[in-house]
Amino acid sequence: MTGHSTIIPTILIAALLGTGKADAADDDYFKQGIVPFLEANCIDCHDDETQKGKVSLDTIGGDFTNGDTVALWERVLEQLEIGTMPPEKKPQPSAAEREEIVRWIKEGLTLAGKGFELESRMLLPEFGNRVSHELLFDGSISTPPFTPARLWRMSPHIYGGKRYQQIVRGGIEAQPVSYKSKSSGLRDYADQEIMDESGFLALQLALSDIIANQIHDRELAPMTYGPDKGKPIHIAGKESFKVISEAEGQPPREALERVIREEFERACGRPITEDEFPKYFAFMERNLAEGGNAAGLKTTLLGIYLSSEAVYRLELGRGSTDEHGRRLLSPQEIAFALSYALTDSPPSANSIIQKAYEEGKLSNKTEVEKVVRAMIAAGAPPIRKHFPASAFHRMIQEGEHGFAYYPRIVRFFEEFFLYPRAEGTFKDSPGPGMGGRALIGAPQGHIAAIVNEDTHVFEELLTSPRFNNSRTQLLKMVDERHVKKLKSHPKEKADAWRADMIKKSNKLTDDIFRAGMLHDLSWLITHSTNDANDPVHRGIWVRTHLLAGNVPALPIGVDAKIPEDHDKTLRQRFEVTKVDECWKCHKHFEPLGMPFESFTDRGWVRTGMYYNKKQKRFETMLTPDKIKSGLEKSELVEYPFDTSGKITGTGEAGIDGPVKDANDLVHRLAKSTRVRQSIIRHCFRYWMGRNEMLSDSETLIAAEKAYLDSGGKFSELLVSLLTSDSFLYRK
Amino acid sequence: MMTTRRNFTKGITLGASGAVLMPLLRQMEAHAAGRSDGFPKRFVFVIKSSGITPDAIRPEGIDIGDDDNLLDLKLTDHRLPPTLRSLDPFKEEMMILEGLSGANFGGNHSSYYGALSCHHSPEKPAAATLDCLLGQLNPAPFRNYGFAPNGHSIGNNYGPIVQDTAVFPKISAYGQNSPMPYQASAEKAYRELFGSALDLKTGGKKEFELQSNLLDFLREDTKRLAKQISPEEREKLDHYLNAFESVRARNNQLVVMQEKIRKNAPELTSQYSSTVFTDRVSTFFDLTSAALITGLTNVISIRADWLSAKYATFGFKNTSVHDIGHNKVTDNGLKSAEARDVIRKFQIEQIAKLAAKLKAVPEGDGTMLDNTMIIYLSDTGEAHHSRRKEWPFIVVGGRGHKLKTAGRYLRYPKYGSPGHKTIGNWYNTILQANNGPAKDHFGQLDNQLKDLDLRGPLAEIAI
Repeated sequence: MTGHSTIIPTILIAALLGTGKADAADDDYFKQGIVPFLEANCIDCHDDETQKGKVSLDTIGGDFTNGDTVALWERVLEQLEIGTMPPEKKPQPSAAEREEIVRWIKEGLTLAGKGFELESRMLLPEFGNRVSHELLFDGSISTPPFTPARLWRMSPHIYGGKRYQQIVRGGIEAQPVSYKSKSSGLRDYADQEIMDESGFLALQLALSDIIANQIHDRELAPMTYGPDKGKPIHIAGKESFKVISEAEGQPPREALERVIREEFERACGRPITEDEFPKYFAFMERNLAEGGNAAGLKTTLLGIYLSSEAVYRLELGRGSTDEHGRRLLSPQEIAFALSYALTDSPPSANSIIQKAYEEGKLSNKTEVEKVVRAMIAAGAPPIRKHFPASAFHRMIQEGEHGFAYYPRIVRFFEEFFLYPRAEGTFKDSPGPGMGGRALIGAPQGHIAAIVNEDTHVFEELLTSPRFNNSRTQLLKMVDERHVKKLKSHPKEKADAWRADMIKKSNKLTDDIFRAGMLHDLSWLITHSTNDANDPVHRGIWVRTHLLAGNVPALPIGVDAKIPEDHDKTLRQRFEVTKVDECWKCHKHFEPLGMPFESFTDRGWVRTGMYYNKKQKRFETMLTPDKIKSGLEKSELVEYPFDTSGKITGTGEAGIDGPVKDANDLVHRLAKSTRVRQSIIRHCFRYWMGRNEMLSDSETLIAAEKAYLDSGGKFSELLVSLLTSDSFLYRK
Repeated sequence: MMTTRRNFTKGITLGASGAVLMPLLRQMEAHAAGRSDGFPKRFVFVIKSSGITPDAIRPEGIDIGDDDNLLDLKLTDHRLPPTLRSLDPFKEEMMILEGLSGANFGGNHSSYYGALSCHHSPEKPAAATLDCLLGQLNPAPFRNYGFAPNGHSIGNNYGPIVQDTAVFPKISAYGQNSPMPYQASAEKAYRELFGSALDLKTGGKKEFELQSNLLDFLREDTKRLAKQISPEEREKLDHYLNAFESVRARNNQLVVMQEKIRKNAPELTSQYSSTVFTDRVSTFFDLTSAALITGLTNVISIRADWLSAKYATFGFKNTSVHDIGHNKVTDNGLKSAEARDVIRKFQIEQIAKLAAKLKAVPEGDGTMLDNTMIIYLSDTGEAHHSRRKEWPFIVVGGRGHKLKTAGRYLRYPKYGSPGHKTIGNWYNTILQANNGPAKDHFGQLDNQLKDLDLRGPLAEIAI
């Protein structure tokens, strides 16, 4: 019992430095280091007699050649990693003790041939929270941070920045590559995306089309509507290409040179070197000679666009090596890393980065910080996405110019809150059109405004009243904008615009209940099913995104279905989850998701729960007068609704405990240290393109400090992350 | 395959529970004579959206009673329902398969990858799908090929639906997280499939011949980079290098096939650039027969329609498949069930035309149809909003496959009853007949059916 507490810290440090000596095959270590842990923390419930959950650890040995033992240790590992065992009410081992046994089990499983599986799953974004939250933030780790040297596949958005995408019918831009990874969460992970045969074929196919469209002028079928109805649409080819593709005989040498230099830079984001140039030129000449001008040019362009540097970002650490064996990124690598941290364009398209690079001022942390600060100060022009948007949404989107509009910052919040998915959540119940695409404009604008205001950003995101879809709020904005318009537009025009907006505003309700992003229509609808609220996925989101928590994987063979009885309230339908075998997992998320019963599944603030007897369903979008008349005519039956829930797992006084409704929930969460740290962990993952390792502790602690010391500035958090060792060093 | 007399009779005993002997015998004779030997096994999957109503494809005069028993009947004893009449000439070489379930592969109006992988995977592929596995087992220059009238564009897995480029309809996958793109543009599909041997305005032979320059160049370029990086990262580049090599291998095969490709390539007509929905779908079927006859691929998946599709040709100009699924009366006054009949009839006619074309091509002692199994299925079971406790299939052709599908109406007992089976059992049967890995079950098991024995292939169909 006493042995392990003294052994563990030494071994732990050794393990963190990668020199762990404790061997899973070592029987003595099992007896001295592991058995005491089991006795102290597990055996009470899992001995041969009690066998809680039909698990007995009494006789589990350290023999990883035995299949049954391996399977049992895998279950133990899962419980330890996600923190569900020992149960909350029992005494807990320290984070370091937990980490040590986790390390030991993993070592054993590696001996059993499961190393690859363990390693590869830890690279997945959804496993990020399995890295001990306590150890990351308690300051006990002093290993210098770094990121493994890597190739990072260009994201679909970077392709967007290269302007490769073809415009297809309806004006939609089809990027030539896509993510393979799960679409719900952070996506651009260096380890997850590789170019294999299917990726190569898809990209080659898409690029062939794009090039074919550019090497000649072309005519598209005329529009069938609009003022240009019937007129053929002429699309000009690219001049530099046409000089070659349409040349009679051999095209001029300068034309070939120009295309190679320009297109290489477009594809790889840097000028071609004089070493590289002859290889490309010879390739072009051979293609033209063998296939003629058009086919030859096309093949050459494919060679440029498909070269490994055009499909992968290189972050090898080509700078100097320090005393810990870490290599600094070279100035050119830093230029790319910074450029792609904030934008989807290469450094050559970002004047601040390009200038610093050209002047040789990207070779240390101080210089990098200067560039990041300059980028933040310069900001990015507002973007408008997802047309069409309602008048209200459009106005919110056209917010002030600021750093929040850097595409990569916009996208962080898209991937974190997942709000763009609202447009794909299909709502069957009848009612006024939701304007799926319009739905996304408002939160994007609100988030950008909060980030640009740059004070207590996380707290504002979670509690700001501006997420209320309020007519009053809109009219206030209209008046402000009207004053501005009067300065630049004739009075009649400005007044007419104001009158139109007032008319449009009639459709808006005047909510006051909503607070923060989790009350926005888009977040609510994203996390709902076709016709019902979804406390499971809402709760899981809160648990994993805000509480750095883990949710056990759905056990194989469990059919987790909530009955679809349309005449029962959600609470009644969820009664099935209260049996022990369901509740042991559901308790981790359902109480976090239930408070959102404050809203209907359409995201309307609920004022009552009304069952339509004739239609046999609960109504989700009734205006007050319809409710009144429905009740009077006895067409509606009013049910009580329950918005209570519970926060667990922060370990913070004043945060954990029952909550009364969705408003109480978000206000409480916004005050939590763990919530702040959880968001910071997600920022880390997004900007580093990988999960955190224990050795990133220093980076995370510094990021949190930067945020707190500045009064909650997102900009300071960014500066801290982008100048961290985790960002700049490779090993 | 060498069918011994013992195997042969054993097959008969197994299949003799219903009076299905004649066509089956012929199928088994084909095996016995080794007719299918030496010819590739081919598959065409035709996947429709909005469900297939079992009642609407059931032959006339069949009473399923309390639905607790296996029904194994001879198709020639029954008249096909009106929307299936175009298949009359193939009655002795087709099967209507009912009563299977796939309840645990959910999704919003579609099970997406789940329909062919038997994994709950509405969003991203959790495992390889049946068509891709069969593509691997029956190799050809193109391992698989897919046609879809529209889908999420490549680069936009989540977002607008497009139709003039390669798309992801979220149906087929080579493996976990590895979705298979389908081609939505008939013209581009033509170029991909037949371009290597033809002089085309875009792409075509000239460009194809330059591909070896391109692959050489990319290989050198990638190798140059590989020298500078660590072994772990080199693995990523190895995947890229492998891609060049397999494209090269395919190109070599295509070179050998040039004459055949030229001979069998369909004429590039204006239909290839048509934007009319039904034209586009029938062009996909034309391309399918041509590609199979040429030997370019052995497995083709056709996404027959999608929820937003509007069959304007039939007067549903403003009513989408989804609207029809929701009982909206079409612009020209058809009720939902009638409109669904019109759509099904069109799709079945395409299959019948394809079957006829394949039947016209002799292969061994039989025809190409004997070695090609066309499987018509829904991406979501039995209805627009399905519970997937029923998942009907229509199988045409494939007499030469090691499966007893000829001339049968087969209905398994209803969901949960003894003897009930799943689509996983059916796919497992197909895979094992194609020398796929022996498995107890294909995909995820349905926990609600834990009391049933769902192991192994379907004894009624497997030989």
